[in-house]
Amino acid sequence: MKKFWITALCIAVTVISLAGCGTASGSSAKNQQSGYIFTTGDQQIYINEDAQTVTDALGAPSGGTYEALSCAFEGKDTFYYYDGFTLQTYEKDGKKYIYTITLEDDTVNTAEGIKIGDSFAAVTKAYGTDYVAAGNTYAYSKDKMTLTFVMNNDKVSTISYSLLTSK
Amino acid sequence: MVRSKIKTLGIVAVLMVLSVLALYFAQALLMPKYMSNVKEGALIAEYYKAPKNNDVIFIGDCEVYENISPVTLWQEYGITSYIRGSAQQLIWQSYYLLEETLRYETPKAVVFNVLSMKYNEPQNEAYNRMTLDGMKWSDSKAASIRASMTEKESFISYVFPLLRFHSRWSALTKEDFRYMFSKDMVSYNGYLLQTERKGVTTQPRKTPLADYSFGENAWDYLDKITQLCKEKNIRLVLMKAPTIYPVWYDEWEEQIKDYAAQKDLPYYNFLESIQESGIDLTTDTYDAGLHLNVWGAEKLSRYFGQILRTECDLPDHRQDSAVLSYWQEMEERYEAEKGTAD
Repeated sequence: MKKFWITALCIAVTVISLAGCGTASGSSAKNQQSGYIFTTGDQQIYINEDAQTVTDALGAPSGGTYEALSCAFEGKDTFYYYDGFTLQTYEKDGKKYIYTITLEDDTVNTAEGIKIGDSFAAVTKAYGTDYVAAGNTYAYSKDKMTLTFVMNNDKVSTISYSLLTSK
Repeated sequence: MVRSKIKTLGIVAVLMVLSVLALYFAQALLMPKYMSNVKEGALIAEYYKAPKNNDVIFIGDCEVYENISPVTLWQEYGITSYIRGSAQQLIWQSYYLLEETLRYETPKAVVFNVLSMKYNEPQNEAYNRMTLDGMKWSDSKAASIRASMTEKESFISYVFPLLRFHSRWSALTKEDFRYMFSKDMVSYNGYLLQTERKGVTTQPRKTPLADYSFGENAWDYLDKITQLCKEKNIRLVLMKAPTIYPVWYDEWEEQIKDYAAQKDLPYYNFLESIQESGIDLTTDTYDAGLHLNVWGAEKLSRYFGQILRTECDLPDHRQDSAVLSYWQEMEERYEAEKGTAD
C-alpha cells in the first residue's frame, strides 16, 4: 500500500512538473524563441521576442534610443543603439517586440561566428548554401525570420536579422 | 395578366432601388471618416472643395503636408499653393495625383519631395486607402489603384469600398454617423497643422542598406512626372524636407543630384540648410525629427517661398481680389488653431 502511494505521488509530481514545463515553454514562448539567434555577452536575442526583457537585460544603450512614430497610425518603431549593433522594435497592443537586429561593426558576431569583414566562404561554411540571393545579398530564412548578409568585394559588409511577417 | 406583370416588375424595381440605397448608406456609414483620428486620410478629398487657381502644387508624402505651410507662403509672398500630399504617398501615386490635378488647374510650379524614391513597389494597404479612396473617379485614380495594390488587395474593393470596410460595423462611433455625408476641413490647402513640441535628442543612425540604388519603377515614375511637367510647361522643383527620419542616405542624395543636373531641374535638400532656414530641431518638430511642427513649417516655408518666388517667377497675389477672401478666411482659421496652442 505504501508503495502504491509513493508511486501515485511520484506520478502526480511528474505530471504537475510536466504541466509546469508545458506552461513555461508553451507555444507563445516557443514561437518567440525561434529562428537564428544573436548573442551578445550572456544575452541571447531572438527576433519577435518581447523587447522589454532584452533591453532590461542589456541596460541603457550607449548610443541612446530613437523613437519613430508611424506617419499616420498608432504605434512606433524604436531603435536602441548599442555598441556594435542596433535593435529595432515594433509595437503591438502596447508591447514592444524585436523587429530587426543590425550588426554595425566587427566587434560583434552572429551566434554561428560570422562578423563583418568575413568572407563569403566563411558564411557558407557556417550557414550552408540554402540561401536566397538577390544581387550581393544572401538571405537565410528560418521559422519566421531572415538572416541577411550583404557582401561587398567578397567581404561581409552588413548583417541583419529581421522578422519575415508583416507587422 | 399584364397588370400583374407590371405590378411584379414595379415591386422588383422598388426593391432594387431600396437595395442600392441601403448599400449606398451602408458604405457611407462604414467608410473610415478620418476626422478626429488619422486626419491624414481626409487630405486627398479636401482638394476638390478648394479653388483651383494655385501657382504651386506640392506632391509627396508627409514631408510635404507636415512641413510646408501654404498660409505662410501666402502671408509672406502672396503665393497661392496647394499640397496634394498623403501619408506614405508612393511616387506613382504622386504621379497620378499630379495627372489628375492638372485636369483642374495648371500651376506655374510643381514641387515633388523625393523621399518616396526609396520605395519601388506597393507597400501597405492602409496607406494606399488614405491616398486612393479620397480621389474622385478618373483614369488617373484607376491607374493609381492598379499601380499601388499589394498582393492581398483587389481592384473591386476600391470600386465598392463596402467590400473592404463591411466589418467596421462593430467599431462604429458617433463620428461615423456625424460625418456620413459631409466632413469638416482638417487641413489648410493640404497642410496638416501640428502644434506639439518634441525635440530631437538622439540622431537616428544610418543603418547600412544592401543596395542604395533607387528602383527602376521609381525612376520611371520620376521620369513621368518630369515629362508631364515639361509637356505642360510647368517648372518642376525637387525637394527633400529637413527632417531626420526616415534617414536620407548620401548615396540617395547623389542619385537625385545627378538626375536633377541631367534633367536641368532645381533640387533643394533642406537638410543642408537647416541652420540657414532658422529651423531648430530641438523645438520645431513635434515628434523628434520626423516632421516639423507649425513653427518649423513656417520657417521652412519662409525660406523656401523666397526660393520659389525667384526660381519660378511667381506673382504676388496679395492684392488679387479674386483670391483674397479665400485666403483671408483660411488665415483666420489657421491662426485660430495655431493660437490655441501659443
